[in-house]
Amino acid sequence: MVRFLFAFILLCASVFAQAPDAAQLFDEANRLYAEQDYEGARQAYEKIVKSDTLDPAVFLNLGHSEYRLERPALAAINYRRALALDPANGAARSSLEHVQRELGQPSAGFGFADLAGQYISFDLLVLLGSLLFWAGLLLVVFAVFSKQRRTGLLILGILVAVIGATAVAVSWAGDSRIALSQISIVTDDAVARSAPAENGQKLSDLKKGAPVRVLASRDDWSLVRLPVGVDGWMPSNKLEPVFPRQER
Amino acid sequence: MNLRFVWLFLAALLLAGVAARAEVLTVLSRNETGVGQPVVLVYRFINTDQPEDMPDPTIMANGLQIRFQGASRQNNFSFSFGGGGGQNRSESVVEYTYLVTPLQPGQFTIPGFAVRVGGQTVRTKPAQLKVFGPSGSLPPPRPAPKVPQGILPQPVQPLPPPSTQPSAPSDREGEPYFAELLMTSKPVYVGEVVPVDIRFYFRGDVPLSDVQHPTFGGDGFTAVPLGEPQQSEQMVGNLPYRVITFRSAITAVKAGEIEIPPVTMTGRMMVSAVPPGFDAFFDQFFQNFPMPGVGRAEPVEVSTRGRTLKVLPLPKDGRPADFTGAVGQFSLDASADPTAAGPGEPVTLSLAVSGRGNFDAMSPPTLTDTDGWRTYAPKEKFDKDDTVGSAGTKIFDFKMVARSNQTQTPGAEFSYFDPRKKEYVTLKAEAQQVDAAGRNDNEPDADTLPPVVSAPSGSGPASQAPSDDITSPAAALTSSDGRGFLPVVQAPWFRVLNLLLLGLAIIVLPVLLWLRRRRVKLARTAEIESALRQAKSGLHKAADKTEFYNAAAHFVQARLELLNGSAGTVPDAAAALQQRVSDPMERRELQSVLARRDELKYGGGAAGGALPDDERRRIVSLLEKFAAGKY
Repeated sequence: MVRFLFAFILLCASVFAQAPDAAQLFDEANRLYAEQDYEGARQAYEKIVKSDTLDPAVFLNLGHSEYRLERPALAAINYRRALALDPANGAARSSLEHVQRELGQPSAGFGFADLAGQYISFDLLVLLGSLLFWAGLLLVVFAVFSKQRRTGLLILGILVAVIGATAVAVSWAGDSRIALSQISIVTDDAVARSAPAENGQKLSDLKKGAPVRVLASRDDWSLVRLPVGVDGWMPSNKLEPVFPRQER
Repeated sequence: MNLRFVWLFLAALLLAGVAARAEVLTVLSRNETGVGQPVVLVYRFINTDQPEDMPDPTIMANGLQIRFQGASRQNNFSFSFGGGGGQNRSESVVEYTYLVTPLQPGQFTIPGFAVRVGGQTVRTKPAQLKVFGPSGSLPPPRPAPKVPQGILPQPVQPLPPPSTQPSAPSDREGEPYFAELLMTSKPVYVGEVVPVDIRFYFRGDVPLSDVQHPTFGGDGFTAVPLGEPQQSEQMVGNLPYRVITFRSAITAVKAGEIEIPPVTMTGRMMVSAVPPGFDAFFDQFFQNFPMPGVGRAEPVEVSTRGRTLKVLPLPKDGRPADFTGAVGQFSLDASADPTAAGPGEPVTLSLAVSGRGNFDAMSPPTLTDTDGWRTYAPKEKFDKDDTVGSAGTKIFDFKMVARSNQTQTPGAEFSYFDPRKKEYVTLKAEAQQVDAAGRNDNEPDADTLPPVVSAPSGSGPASQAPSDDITSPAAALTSSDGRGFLPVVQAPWFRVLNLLLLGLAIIVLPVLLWLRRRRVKLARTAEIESALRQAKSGLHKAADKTEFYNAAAHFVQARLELLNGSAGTVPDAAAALQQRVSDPMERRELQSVLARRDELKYGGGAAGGALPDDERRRIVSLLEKFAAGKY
């Protein structure tokens, strides 16, 4: 028991100890950025990311560093990450739109789900919806197995369960992170081929910054769903997932 | 009767054709033009045989380039009423078309020349052409160029495409339609652009309809999609053909032998269907002059032959480090604009790669000596000079900002492989002279940054005005409110929790159902046992036969229902006894108890009366045995 308590205290201490380190590192990275040492700033921001600090400001600044280092595709990825963490981040959104335009890619768009995402926490909605669904189901069971006839309770239970299920479905459909979790970005101009080999028939040119859905991987090649709806193989080293792999 | 009339009609036509007048016309599409602006020259032989010795396909005269374009033959027929009767006119026209391109200004006379036609020598008329210079000036007249005559003894053939395999459509003379794919038969290199002409020939007297656009492509190469075709007329042997030509270009993507598949064009051809009773002679007549309801459309498919192309790999020896796959013949030019720029103001270095080759796969030239400059990825623009995009100019606009004071832009290098020379070539563009002031590091470089992007419309957190500089960093860590990249709905713990709840529901629901059924069953059993106890008490308390047998019947009924369990009530006790009680003696006695009750209850003559003790004991004993028995 004492051992568990000790471990718990250590865990708490490490969590609280992270914050000042990340803040110091962030200030240091910002200083390097201000001094136009964009590569140094990028490395510092990356260090914060690797310390499991998921902060939209870090990804925003990392995107700026990549942009300054003339890597717009990587900049766009980090802006997307910042937006995923904070859908209300206007700087990340406008920066992403700008870089998308510069890359010749269609704008990420600003739909109803994005608007709703600024006010609603889809995670909270999912939890609430799930809670309501099971509560509704419990009411239905209680009404059905009750000694007395409880029609009102049965209807209420069904209604609550349906509302809960709808809330979960809305969250599933509206949360952009779900769609983005399967998306990778082409980091350099590439050619999609019919087979995972350099001499495979050319299917399409893939411009830097184009989003593709990775379906499978084989050796150093990835099978991707092209924007035109066709599947083709491209080198894996020219793909960067929108969300870091360790987060999945 | 009808046949006789038709013969007379045709005889009249033939007589009119014989009477037609023979002549040779020289037609120039324009009499005035500018340098480099071609005009069309046509020699039209009307009602004559085919000329035997027309001039050479390409004539380089003094100041004029005359290039043969093609020959055609037409048979015109017209019939009109007037002047007191029917008049008809039959005319055969052979045309030879040349494209005349002036190379210099001046007044030119294209002289007439002698041609042998049908065993006779006829002379064409000269044509006058005024050619103006770039400023519209016209120099004094100069002697007319000499046009060579009769260089080729035989009739001219159509010009082949720029680089083709030997092609002899004349060997297909007489076929109603055929097709050919013209391209080089020599080995090419990976990435080299190979022009391709796809020609479909349809004999002049073959009426076609519903012609479908062909498609072109295959494995191992990329092909420029077939665009709008060019149509022309051409003599194949002695027959006129309509020629539909599609231009494309292919680029091999792998070394080895690649198969160029056949290209197919489909359509419908009207074929004659001579009405019953007409001679076979009219077959040709109805084919030449299709009439409504006479003839039928048959599908036709015209295909080129497949080809094989040998593709060589690009040599590894001598390959420059900056070679990115450009194959062809190119030149490189550079220019800078503006040539003077203040601190933070961008200068655009335009690098124009011109020539012929695979522009699609072309990467930007490599900048050299970029120290002191911040350069950005270039914008590309391609102006093609031909329909297939294999020739033209690709312009790469590099924007760059001076970090410190600069007097010249970076230079540039561009490497490509020249398949003619069979070697790699590296072009160099010299640095351009500019006067660009460097930016002071303490000043923000807002001017060089991309333009401000407005936030989406509408209220809300995102609509806050973005900063002027999209790369203004966030000054402090914010909070994502515990939000990560993984939505809760996809989190493993969420899924596990819901699966557990689902599993619990799947397990708990049947248990609840079983408990409910058990509860109902127990309640029913208790109810029956209560009835049984009441009936047993009634047996002892009964004052007369009617009450006794009523109680006895209730006892039997309750016992049977108890035996029946959850199946419910027993509507026919006698039948139930038949099933439950196997001992026939016992069964009969129990059935007699029920019958006695019915008799006492419903029988008119039977009276209640006192029950003898021995009968009471016997019945009670029977019922106790029934209650204790296992059935």
